[in-house]
Amino acid sequence: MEHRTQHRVLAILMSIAASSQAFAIEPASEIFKKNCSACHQLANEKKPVVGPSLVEINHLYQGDEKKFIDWCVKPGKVRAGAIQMPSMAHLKKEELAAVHGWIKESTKGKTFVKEVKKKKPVDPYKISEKDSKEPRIQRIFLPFSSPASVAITLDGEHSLCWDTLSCRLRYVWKGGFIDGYPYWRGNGGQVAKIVGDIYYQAPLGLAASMTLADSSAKPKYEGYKVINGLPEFQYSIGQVKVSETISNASGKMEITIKTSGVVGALTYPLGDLSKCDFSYSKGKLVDGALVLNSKDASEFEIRFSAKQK
Amino acid sequence: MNKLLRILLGTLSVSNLMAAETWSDICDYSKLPLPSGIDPQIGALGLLPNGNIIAAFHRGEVMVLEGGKWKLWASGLHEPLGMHVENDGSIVVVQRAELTKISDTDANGVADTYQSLSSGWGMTGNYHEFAFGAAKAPDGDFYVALGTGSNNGGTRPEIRGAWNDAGGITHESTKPTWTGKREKSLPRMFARVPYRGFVIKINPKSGEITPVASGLRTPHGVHVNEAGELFINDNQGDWLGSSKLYKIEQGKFYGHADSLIWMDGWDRGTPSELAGEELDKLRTKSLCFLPQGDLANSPTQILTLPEDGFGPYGGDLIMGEMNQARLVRFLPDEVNGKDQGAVMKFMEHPELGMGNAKLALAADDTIYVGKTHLSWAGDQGIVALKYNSTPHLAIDKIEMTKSGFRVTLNEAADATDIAVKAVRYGLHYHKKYGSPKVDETSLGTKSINVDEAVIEFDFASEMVPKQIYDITLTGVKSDELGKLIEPRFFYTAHEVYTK
Repeated sequence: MEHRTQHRVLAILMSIAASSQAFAIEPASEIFKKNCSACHQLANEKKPVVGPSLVEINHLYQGDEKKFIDWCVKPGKVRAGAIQMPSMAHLKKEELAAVHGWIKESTKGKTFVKEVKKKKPVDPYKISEKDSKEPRIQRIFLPFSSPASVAITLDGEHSLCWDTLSCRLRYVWKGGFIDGYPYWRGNGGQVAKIVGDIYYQAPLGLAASMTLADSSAKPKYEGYKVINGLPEFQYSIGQVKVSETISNASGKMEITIKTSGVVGALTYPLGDLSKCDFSYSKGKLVDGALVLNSKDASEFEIRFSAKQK
Repeated sequence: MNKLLRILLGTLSVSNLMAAETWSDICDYSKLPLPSGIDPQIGALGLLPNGNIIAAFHRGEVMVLEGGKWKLWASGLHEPLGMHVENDGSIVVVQRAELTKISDTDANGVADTYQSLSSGWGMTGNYHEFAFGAAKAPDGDFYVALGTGSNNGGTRPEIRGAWNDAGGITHESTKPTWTGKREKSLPRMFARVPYRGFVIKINPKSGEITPVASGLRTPHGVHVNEAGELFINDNQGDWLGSSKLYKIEQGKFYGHADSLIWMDGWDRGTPSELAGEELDKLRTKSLCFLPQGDLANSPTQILTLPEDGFGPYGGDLIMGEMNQARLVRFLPDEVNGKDQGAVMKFMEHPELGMGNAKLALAADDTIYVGKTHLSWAGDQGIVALKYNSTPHLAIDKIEMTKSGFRVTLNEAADATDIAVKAVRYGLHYHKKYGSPKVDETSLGTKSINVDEAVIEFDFASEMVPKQIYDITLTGVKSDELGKLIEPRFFYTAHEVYTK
């Protein structure tokens, strides 16, 4: 192959001065493609749908270029559940005006028909009936607990919320698990819904964590192991190591707590037990809490089930 | 080669036979199969030591692609947004609430242990408080970058971490609503619980957190190179006229206002109520801007290409992009002893599409791209872009000179038709979202010198600092490699040479 050997130095002298006169703007279709097409489609024909279609935008703004430009520069939020449009402040007014005109052109002959909203959006990835009966652990935003909580179901029927911040059971419910779709369909702006009826709720507040006599140590979450699809949580309170295993004891929610290093009494605060059949293997109930001596605290069980109506 | 044949080939377009002239000539696109029945938005992506792809999905499943089939390995995670694969096949994943090491300790092919390496950062429960990472530093620690909350959403009644009520904004005043937050005092993006707006370093053994730097908004890309340098990119919005790439230094503030409230002794109220000039004095500048619309609207995961792969791009820093069908490449420069540089399009494949959030590098010069949208602009699934080594003309290096730029190609160029199209502009540093191009000025060229692979051009006017130079080289070609594949670059000139 012939090798290119030319060595050329070319100096081109020009006398074009720097200028800051008005810029020729790009074609509107290009401006649209670069800045708008990620979220706006002609008629929202393809999923995912992010913003209103051009047909709808034209319907809203065809006669009002200024209103269109004002919105683009300083968008508000008018649709519940939709994300907010980012400002197009980086575009010139002429560019936005061109896009306004282009939208009108490209939607010519198309009429906006308001979509009749389905009453309840359907989760396209809802787990199967069969799989929903399996034990399951799911971290997600949950109501009535900290943002760092875990939803657990024994069988799709008996479920609980465990909080990794206060390291404890927060509430128990019967009748289903969670509907995570309100969270998952978006960006996390909604919490999951509890499916079923909550029949036990632990006392509120972080002070209601399990406590040790003569210690003000707060629990520190360390993770969990999965045993038969259910968690064995690990955490520590000061020097005391704790494991908390969730299991299914013939339909009852059983929590086995094992500790090592407890010196004095261990107090497990309890909430309102009136809707709940509650039992415990060791210790005694004192002022709304289960209190155990250090020997009993090394391993004990508590069980919850909904009171028969 | 016979001269006549060469002319003929030239006429037929050299690219078709010998060299590439578009990105689709040099990278082969393919789509990977998706697991059935699960939401295929990818939150984290990696390659196991055996080369199998491992992906974490939006709803928390972690699956392995084995022999063309997806196998569930772990599940139940909360919005995983980044992973590091360890040599033993365990993974370290960033979830909203935690840095978690997931292992299969009994080697039965399914993970059984979810060890919390750290859960020591604050959460208000606001949807926009994403956690990104996890980049492993050479010393074994992990970097996690923590996004700020948005006043488009509220905060939860129970939060994690102590609320900072600087400027008199109490937690109680931020009850959740889906709209109307604007009227409240919370800044557009807020950092009211510890380490929001920070990149932190986590010791995986002790769980100890070291705050590294603040002033971040939505820092999606977190990357440590072999030299231990930390790179982070951030998304356009309030205090970011356009998206940016940073090289992070310990203790610095990078410009997004609200995390300043965590500075020792902060007593100046809500930072975003201060004048931009005041905050400007406190901040450390980026390496470069990624111009909104023109290049990238929402940059994502960063990685370094292997030195011995990807042809002329070996060793380069690249990143993903959510809203446009491309990746982005960074070309470093140093002026007056300060790091800055240029960015340009990379692997802009027509089929790539949007949502290019997560990247994983395979040994055969393939970049796997995991896609997500989380209801914003984006897409779903995993695609592969394989660099196919077709020779082509590319920019190797971009250096600012006293009066223009010196661009070095990977092959000598034919000087005949080379011209330069250039504009420069500034961007506002302010609390409003984004920025218009400020004082956009087109630039005439005084001279263009071509010496083999080096194109050097001087502008007719002086170089101006604090400007983005948007430059397109036209007519650049070589006999052997055809025309320059990517002729446009965006150089952020925080600094210019002083005489």
